[in-house]
Order: sequence, then C-alpha cells, then structure tokens
Amino acid sequence: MFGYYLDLALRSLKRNKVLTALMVIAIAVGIGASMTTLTVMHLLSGDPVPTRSGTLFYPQVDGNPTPGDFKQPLDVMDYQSAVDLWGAHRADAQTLVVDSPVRLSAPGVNLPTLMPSMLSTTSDFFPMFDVPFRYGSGWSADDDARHARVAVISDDLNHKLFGGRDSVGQVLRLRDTDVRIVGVLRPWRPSPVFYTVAGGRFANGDTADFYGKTQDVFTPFFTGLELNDGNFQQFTCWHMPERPGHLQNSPCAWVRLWVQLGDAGKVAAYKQFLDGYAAQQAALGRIVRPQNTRLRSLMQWLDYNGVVPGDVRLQTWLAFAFLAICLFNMIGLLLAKFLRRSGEIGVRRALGASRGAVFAQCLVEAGLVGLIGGIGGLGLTLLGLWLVRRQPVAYADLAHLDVSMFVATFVTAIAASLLAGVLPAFRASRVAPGLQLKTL
Amino acid sequence: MATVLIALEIALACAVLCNACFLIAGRIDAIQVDSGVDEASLATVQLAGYENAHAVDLNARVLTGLGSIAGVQSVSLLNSIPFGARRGTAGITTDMAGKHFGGVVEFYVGGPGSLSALGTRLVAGRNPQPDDFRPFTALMPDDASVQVTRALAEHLWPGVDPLGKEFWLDKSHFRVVGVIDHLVRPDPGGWPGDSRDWSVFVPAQSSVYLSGSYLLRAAPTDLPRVLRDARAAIAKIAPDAVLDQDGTQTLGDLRTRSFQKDRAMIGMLVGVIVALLLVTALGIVGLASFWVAQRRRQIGIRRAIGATRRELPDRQLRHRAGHGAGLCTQSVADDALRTAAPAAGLPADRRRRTVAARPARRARPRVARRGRAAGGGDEGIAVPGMEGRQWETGKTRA
Repeated sequence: MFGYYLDLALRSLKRNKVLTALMVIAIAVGIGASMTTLTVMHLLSGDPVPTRSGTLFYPQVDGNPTPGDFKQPLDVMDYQSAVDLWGAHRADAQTLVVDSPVRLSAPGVNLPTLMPSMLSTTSDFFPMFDVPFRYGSGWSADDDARHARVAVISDDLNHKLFGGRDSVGQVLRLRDTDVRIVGVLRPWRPSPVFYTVAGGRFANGDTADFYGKTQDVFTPFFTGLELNDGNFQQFTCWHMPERPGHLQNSPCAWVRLWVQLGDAGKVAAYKQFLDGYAAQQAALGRIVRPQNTRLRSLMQWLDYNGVVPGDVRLQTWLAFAFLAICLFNMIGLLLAKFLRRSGEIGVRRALGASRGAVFAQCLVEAGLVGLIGGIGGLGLTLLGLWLVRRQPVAYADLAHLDVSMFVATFVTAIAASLLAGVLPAFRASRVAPGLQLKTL
Repeated sequence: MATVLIALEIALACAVLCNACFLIAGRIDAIQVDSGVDEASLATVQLAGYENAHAVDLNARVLTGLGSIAGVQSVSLLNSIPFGARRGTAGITTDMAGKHFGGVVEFYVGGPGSLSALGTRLVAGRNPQPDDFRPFTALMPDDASVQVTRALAEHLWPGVDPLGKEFWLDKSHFRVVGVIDHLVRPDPGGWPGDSRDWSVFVPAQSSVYLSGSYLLRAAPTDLPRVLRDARAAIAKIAPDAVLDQDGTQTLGDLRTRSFQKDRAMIGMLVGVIVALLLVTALGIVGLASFWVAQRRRQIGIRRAIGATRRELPDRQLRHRAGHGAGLCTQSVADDALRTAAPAAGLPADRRRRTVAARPARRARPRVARRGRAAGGGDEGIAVPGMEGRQWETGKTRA
C-alpha cells in the first residue's frame, strides 16, 4: 500500500510543479536555517569529556574576606584554599589549574620567540580529563613534588617547533628556565576548554572565547609558578596585590581546582569535607562566608557559566521561529493541494477507501515533500556551516556536520512535514464523497 | 481555517521581523559608538615577554627608537588601548572606607603626551600638567589628579560639578581635575548603555606596570607605513621583548575587529528578514491561488452576470486586503481569472460587459466556444469537470 501511495504522491507532486517547488523550498530553507544553528548549538553545548564528565566536579569556597551578603562564592579560589584542598587528596583524583602567558623558545630551532599560553597543573590532569598522547606521557606525582623541569606540549606546538616528529626528550626554554619535553599530545580540542571556564555569568553572553584552542605548554603546577613568577593574572582581587603577577598569598582569586569523584557517596563525602574546611578556615578568621561552598559537576558548572554564546542562542531561536513560519506556510499549501483534489478523493472514497486510507495517502505525500525538502535542507545546512566557519569566532573551525546531525536533518525535515501534513490530510479525509461525486 | 493559518503565519513573521529589526538597531548602535579619540591617526605597539627589571629601560629605548621613525608625530605610554588591550578595569568607590560602590570603570594609565595624542576633547577643568605625571611602584598610582569622561561624571555625581570630586580604588586616591567628552572602554561591546564610556585617564611616569604598551600618532596617510616601520624597528630596539603581532595594529583595524561579530550578526539578521519575507510571500501566493481556485465557480457566475475583469481583482483585493498581501492576491486573482473565464465558457473578451442582459440567449453559442477552448488543450488546469458544471448552471438558469 505504501508503495502505491508513494507512486500516487509522486504523480500528484509532478502534476503541479509550482506548488510542489514552493513547498520544497519552504521546508528546505526552514530546515537549512534551523539545522545550521542547531548543529552549532549541539557542538557548543555538548559534553567536552564524554567519557568522564559525570565524575568531574568543581569545588568552590568563598575566599573573599570582605564582609557582605554575597550569594555565590568567587568563580575561582585563592591560592591557599586551592592548595590546601588539593593537598588533602580526599578525591579519587584532583588537579590544580592556572594559565599564564610565557616566553618560549627552543634551542636549535630557528624560530622567533613565541608567547604561548602555559597551563600549570598537576599530574592527575592528564588521566582525569582523558587527554590523548601521541608521544610520551604526562609527568608523575613525584615530579610535582620535586618541582621537576618537565613539560608536555600540544600537537600544534610540536608541529610548529619540531615538524610533528617525536620531540620527547627535547629541551624548551620557558622564560629563562630549560624544561625537558616528556609528552606530546594528539590534537585535543575540548569544546569549551572547560577546565579554565570561569566568569561566564559576567560576560553578557559574549562567551565565544571559551571555545578557543587549548594551551600549548603544560608544566607541573609549582614548576610553572616558579619559572613564570610575576606573570600571573588574577581572576579578581579584593585588595591590590603587593607584587602584581606574584599571587601566592596575595588577596586575589586565581587558582582553579578540579576533582574526580567516582560515585554519589564520594560526592556527598567530599561536599562534607569542603564544608568542614570552610568552617575550620572561618574559625581561623580567614573566611567570612563558610556557608558559601559549592561542588558543581562539570556540566552544571558549564551551565552556571552560560557557556553557549548569547549570539548562538539568539540565532537558534530565530531559526526555529523561521522553521515555524515555513511550516505554517506548508500547511496552507498542502491544504490547497489536497482540497483541490476533492473530486479525486471523493472517487477513491466512493470506491471503498476508508478515511484512514485517504489520510495515510495524504501524509505519504507530505512526507515525500519533507524528504525532498530535507535533501535541499542538507545542502543549505552545509552552506550555512560554511558561512559559520568564515565567521570571526573562536569556535568557527568546529562547525562541521557530524553523523548525528546529518540524520537529525532528515528526521526533522520529515517530522516537520508530517506535522504540517496532519491538518490538511485530516481535512482531505473528511471530504464528503457524495457531494463531490454529484459535482463531477 | 486557512484564514487563521495565514493570519498566524503573518503574525509570527511580524514578531520575528520586529525582533530582528530591534536587534539590528541595537548592533548598529553598538558599532557606531563614539570612541572620542582620533582613530584614524593612531596605532599601538604591544610588547611582552621582557623582564620586569628591564621594563623602564625598555620603555626608554622604545620611546626614543619609535620616535625617530620618519612621520611619527608622537610616541607615548598608555596601558589600555581603545578597542585593544584592556589592563585597567576595576571597581571604584566614592568614599575612602569603600562603602559606596561607584561602578566598574576603565583606568587609562598614560605617560606624558598620551592624552593629547589620543585627541580627546576637554569639556571642563584642565588637561594633565607636567607635574601630574608621577612615578609609581604598585599596579596603579596611589594618588593622582585625573580626567574622567562626562558619562562617568554624570553617573558618579549626577547634576553636580565633578571638578574637585574624589574617588578611591582600594587605597588609591584620585581627584578629578578635568572632564573629557568621550573616551570609550577597550571592550565597549560587553557594557550596556552609557557605561561603555566610563573611563578615567590617570597620568603617570614610565614604570614596571606602565610598560610594553605604546601609542603611536602619525598623519592618517602615513600611519600604515609608520606601523610597518615600527614593527621592523622593534626587533632592533627591543631584542629582549616579543612583539605581540595580534595586538600591534592601527586603532581603525582594532575597531573593525572588535565589531566583526556584530557585523556578521547584522548580515545574518538581514538575511533572515529577506528569507522570511520571501517565504511568507510565497505562502500567501499559494494560499491565495487556493482561495481563487475555490471560488472559480463564483467568479464564473459573476463574470457571466456582467462583472468586468477589472472589477473582479478589485473585489478580491478588498476581500483579502486585511491579510496585507494585496499585490500577490491581485496578480493571482488576475491570473486565475484569465484561465478560469474561458474554461467556464465565458467570453475572454474585455468588451463584453453586459452579458447579464441576455443570459438565456447567450447560452448555446457559448457551448461551442467552450468546446473550442477546452479542445485547445491549455485550459486543463485544476478542477476537472468545471466546464460541464458551469454549463449546467447556465442551462438551469435559462
């Protein structure tokens, strides 16, 4: 029966080419616009570490000693709180994170001095965030403790400096310190660069920069602090730091801590530990709002920061309003198309087709329009994504269609056209055969 | 039913259209922000990677080195750059104890000559005097006579003469001695309304925390060449520093870059509006042709009883004008009429105006005419059996 309806639908679509073309264009344009924005939305709101995100948490305590009724702790922690919590080793894994620009050169490589961003972190960083290595590996906890002069570099930097070959064992000069490369990453592009996300709620939706590239150099936390002393940027300060750029024991928040907690019990226990730490520090007079502790999961933290840029949200809304208009359009056109054939439908009904059969026939026709529109929509989506890639935004290079969105394009197109077809098909199935036959 | 649909479609289209227009207006407003500085004659050179111990020495070398490039009118130190580097964003208070928060403002800390190089317009008080530029060792000078923008003055002290007023940044104390017309923040995009213009100019001497960021002034025609020469000269003047290629630009380029996203968004919104109008118009064309097709019989009758072709589209127009789609409807109705009338066996000739007077006698010849027309082959559009039906009507009436 389906094959027969398909044949009927094809004939019907061929009969009135203009109306068919109008419908196909309407659905293709609507699908093209909405799938372009939906793909961007999907890429930007996705999970940056799909394998681990359920177990990653971002602890916060309020290190700001200024009295006041602040509802939320600062987005990042002061040095002492962060290092204390890290040093307690209460989680399955924990890592400190801070980034700073550093002067970099490689002896023997004929390139001008670079100023890449350096991430100072601890050994758990790589296993915790499932960071892929091409050569070598991360450093050990022992290297952290010894302030070892070692580094891991990104795939980008490895290509720039060493042409992509195995550079483990090579020496880099970071500012005035020589460090030995122990690992080279594979291309790694978490979107967003979640471990340095903070302050998104003050960004007025202008959060595209969270989706930039990762840092190029990774060094052990305390090594980084020593070799780049004086070049650290605070997230915020409640008083002027005495030596700007040197922030240990300064009245500033600038260090982030991430922890990995395997199950709900551990999460609850860690939250308790966090509250206990805040209460103890409050007793010492260092913290004034011990109740202001948070333990958000990775995805909660990204939500809290509103990481998806406001422009992208706006575009998605617009695109879906646009799709809705295209659907209304299609309802009207289908109504016109089906009711024009009232006579034909009357004959089918008189010859014994049930209302359901007429309804199904009309829906098949609508679905076929959706399928053709979906193909057009796919072309327009690819065009749209090409336009997005030409935009001057940090996430531009991420905008590609993946398999799930490819399938979603057709599903959306057919679902939308079926939805649009319901009302016209219902009206068509209610055509009174007697009246139609009389006027034939 | 269809009427409700099209009304809904147009309502939705209008809603999207209004919002899109509103958003475009907002973006255009943002792009057109008045920076208050001579963008066309300014460029900036940004250095990084040097040691703090050498900062003051580096400043001296760069200021003399760049100053000797042909065509340079002035080189000066300025920590933050309009549309560029942002190094002085901080919250201020209007009392020493820090109880009355005044807002988050931009501190432009600049060396001698930088404010006049910017080309801001003084509206009250005075420009910085040579002895206003004092050395400092912390992040900010701890006591200074400053110029504030008019927008900031009105925000902090509405309706009061701001000259002589004071404000604090933590323990640092500032006294207003001048009011400038405009001086935009480095990142105006992220700030609402007037707060885009909340800036303070703090005069200071070269120091560790006022280094590596230079303002170049040259005639607009010389500027690209001067900046090229400056980039080349830096390698010799400051081999110990790394030139920030991205940040070293003319202010015009920096401005263009900082609004690139808004421009892209405007382009997209305009595209949406055009596509929207197109789709809505096409939908109305489709629906209107449906209405006309539904009314073919009625139109045939009206024509038969004497309505002219000219009158019919007019009536269709009036009928549908409420939908705001007059033109489309008219063309469609016109079109339908041209095809429907002969198909209905009616004279396609404009001169026949008074058919109504003799409907019965006219009936028979019309059959022949219809036969010819239908035989022509090109009238077979749409409703099958239309001709016969029309003829029957005529006969019954007769």
